[in-house]
Amino acid sequence: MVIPHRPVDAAMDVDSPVKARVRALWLNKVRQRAGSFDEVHPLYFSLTGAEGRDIRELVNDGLVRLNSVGGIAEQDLRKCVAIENSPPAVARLQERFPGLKIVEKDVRSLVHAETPLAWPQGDERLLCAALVVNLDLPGALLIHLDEHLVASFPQIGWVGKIGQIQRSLAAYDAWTLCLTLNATPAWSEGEQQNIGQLITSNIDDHPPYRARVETALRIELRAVLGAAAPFLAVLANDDAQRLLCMLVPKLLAEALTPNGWAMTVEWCLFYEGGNGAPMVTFIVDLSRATPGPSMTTRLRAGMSDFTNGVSRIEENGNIQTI
Amino acid sequence: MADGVEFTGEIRVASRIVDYLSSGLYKDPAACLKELVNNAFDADAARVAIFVKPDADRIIIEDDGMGMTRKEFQAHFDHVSESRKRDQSDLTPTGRPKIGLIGIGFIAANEICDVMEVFSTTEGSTELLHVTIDFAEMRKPAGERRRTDSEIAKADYRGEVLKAAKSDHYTQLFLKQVRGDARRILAGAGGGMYGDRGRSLYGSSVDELRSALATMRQRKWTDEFDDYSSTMLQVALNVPVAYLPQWMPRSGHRAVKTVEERLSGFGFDVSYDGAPLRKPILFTSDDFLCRPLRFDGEHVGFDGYLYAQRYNLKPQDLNGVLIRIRNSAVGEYRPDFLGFPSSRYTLFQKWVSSELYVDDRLEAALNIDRRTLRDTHPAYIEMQSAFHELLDGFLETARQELYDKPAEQRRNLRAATNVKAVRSTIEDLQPALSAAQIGRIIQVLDKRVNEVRFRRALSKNYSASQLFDLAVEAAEAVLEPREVERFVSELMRRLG
Repeated sequence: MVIPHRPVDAAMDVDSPVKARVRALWLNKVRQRAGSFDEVHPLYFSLTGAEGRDIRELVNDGLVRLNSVGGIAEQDLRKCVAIENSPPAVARLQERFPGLKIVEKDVRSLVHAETPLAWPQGDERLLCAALVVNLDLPGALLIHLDEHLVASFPQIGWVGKIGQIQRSLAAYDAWTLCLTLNATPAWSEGEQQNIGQLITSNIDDHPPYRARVETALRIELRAVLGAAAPFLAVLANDDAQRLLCMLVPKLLAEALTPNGWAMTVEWCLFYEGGNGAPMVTFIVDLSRATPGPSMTTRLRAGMSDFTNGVSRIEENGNIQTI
Repeated sequence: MADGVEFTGEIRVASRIVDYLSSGLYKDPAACLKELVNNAFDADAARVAIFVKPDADRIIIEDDGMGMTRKEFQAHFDHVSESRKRDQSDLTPTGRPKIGLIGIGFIAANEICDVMEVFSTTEGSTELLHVTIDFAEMRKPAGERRRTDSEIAKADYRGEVLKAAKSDHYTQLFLKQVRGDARRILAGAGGGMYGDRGRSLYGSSVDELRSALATMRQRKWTDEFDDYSSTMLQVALNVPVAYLPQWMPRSGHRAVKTVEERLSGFGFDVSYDGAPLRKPILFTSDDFLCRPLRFDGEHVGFDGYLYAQRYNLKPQDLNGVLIRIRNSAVGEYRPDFLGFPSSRYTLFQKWVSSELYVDDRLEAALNIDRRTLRDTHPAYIEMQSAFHELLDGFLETARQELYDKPAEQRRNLRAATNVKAVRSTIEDLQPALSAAQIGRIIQVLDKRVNEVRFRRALSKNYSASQLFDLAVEAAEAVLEPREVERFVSELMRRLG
């Protein structure tokens, strides 16, 4: 049965040295975490797309076993959960991996992102507490400004909710987030101003962070972010990707640290994805924070670490650290 | 996906049918799945895939059959009644005899789920039908659901027409919000002996399935396997999938060749979470009989086979006769053999399994549930009578070949063994007796053994003391009294 490919499915299934490198990095994380799998909460949670390429990688690596008819082996049924909200894509994915747990929702609905006090129930709640959460999100970083022009970042909010669920279930003491975004944000002028202010205020407060940002962006940041013109029009080449590498980890920290997670950024990667689309991928380790310094202190202390591992993945798959 | 043409409607069902739908017939998930698979068969699908694992919170059934357009969907489901499915033809375009009379399978799904989502497209069309059927309407009181004197609304649906590739043809059904009991059964939480988790057939290849059936320890599938697997077996038993490889011992294969080839000729493959379905009928006994059946009468005709093996069939699920019409099973095996007198060949009835592939004429006797037959219908009566006659003769043959003859053989073997034991005991009496004396005693013994009465007694007598009596009897015929005394005392000493 032929199901038309969505562009996102094709993009996720691309074979290139760049994609291979990205896959290798998160796969390594899954290997590292595999020993902690408790058979109740998943090892791996992912937006797999219809082709389930990442599930295939786990199978090829021996992390997920198949039975004699190519389905997920009985003892590994709980290891992976795929998030896919298109029924035909669900069918295709299920055809490829009989027995695979697929939640037919998008992440936003799954975590009840719109309602702070609403949570996934029953098994869906357990499934959110995976050892490796791989969010290969379609689209760019979204920003929402309320009536007071206070910014929120919906996708970061989803991650924050996952962090809260992880914390409440106390399933694992440590987990890894892999977050991928398209790096062509379509922010309005007002949104750009807001982000500019966010970054510049942090630069002023944290000199090490400022130094990292300016090194990464190779520009006089204040001049760009403080200018009257929207900065996206000014940024060239891979600057938008570099900007996101500076911004997103900080946002993640702000979302996850209050929920008792200490964050270590391993990689902030930028590269060209399918069809040359600029992409960014973050690989972040979270561990249960020990009681001690306040959240604010931890955030401040971590500022200079949030830009660890900023690197470009070149066309041949090599990593060039910035 | 929301930029297609949208539409809504109600599925209305003839009152006569609704009673059956509501009577709980399809509460058994296997019954519902069977209907949906048979629908795919009628749509000329070569391949059907059913996905239930890991936890049956959603069931997917997809097939590469003809599919349907919006027009066809609405034409059929806006007024579901009898005789619609075969309005055009009794056969599918590839020549398969259509199983279903009405599209009851779709609606039967309401017993196990609250929502069904359908995606379907036909070859040559660029339309992809997408319909979501809400069975919540079913839960309303009957009065609220009546639309006309003869129709009752069964569900609401909303749909849209999307785009598909012209060459595509398929149907995907998503059974969502699967209901409590059905979900529990399908997920396989229970089953097995005493409610413990039984063996699972999840992910079994054909060989593994065959091996699992061949090594069953319990008497019934539901005692051996978990609910997930029992459901899988029930579906496989019912729908027109092929038999297992070597399901019949080699020497019986000729008797079942016709039925076997008929099914494999359809090219209809069904998988259950990737596991290929095969009819779970497997006979492995070395001591068996198999006879092909054929009958062509005034009101009905059938072919099939009768199989009997020495000792009770295991699993018991296969004991009885299974009727198939248009290659789809009508209910389950009937261990009463359609009312065959239980007093005739009582012991041997439990040794017998049979399948009858009955022609269309029996369909008129089929109740709408497709699980039972009206036993007053002429086609049923004729079939029953013909089958009973065949069964009667077969049971007599089974008794002779599988019971009497082997029993006689066993008696003869026992007699020979006993004679050998007695002879050996006497021979061991040297040197207490001379070789000549021993030889004469054995001569008498051999002569006696050829007497039928003696031989019969010998076949029953196998205790040590009875062997002693035989030896003494032979010795008394040959030896002098004093020698007999010595013989007896020596014999007693040897026999301890």
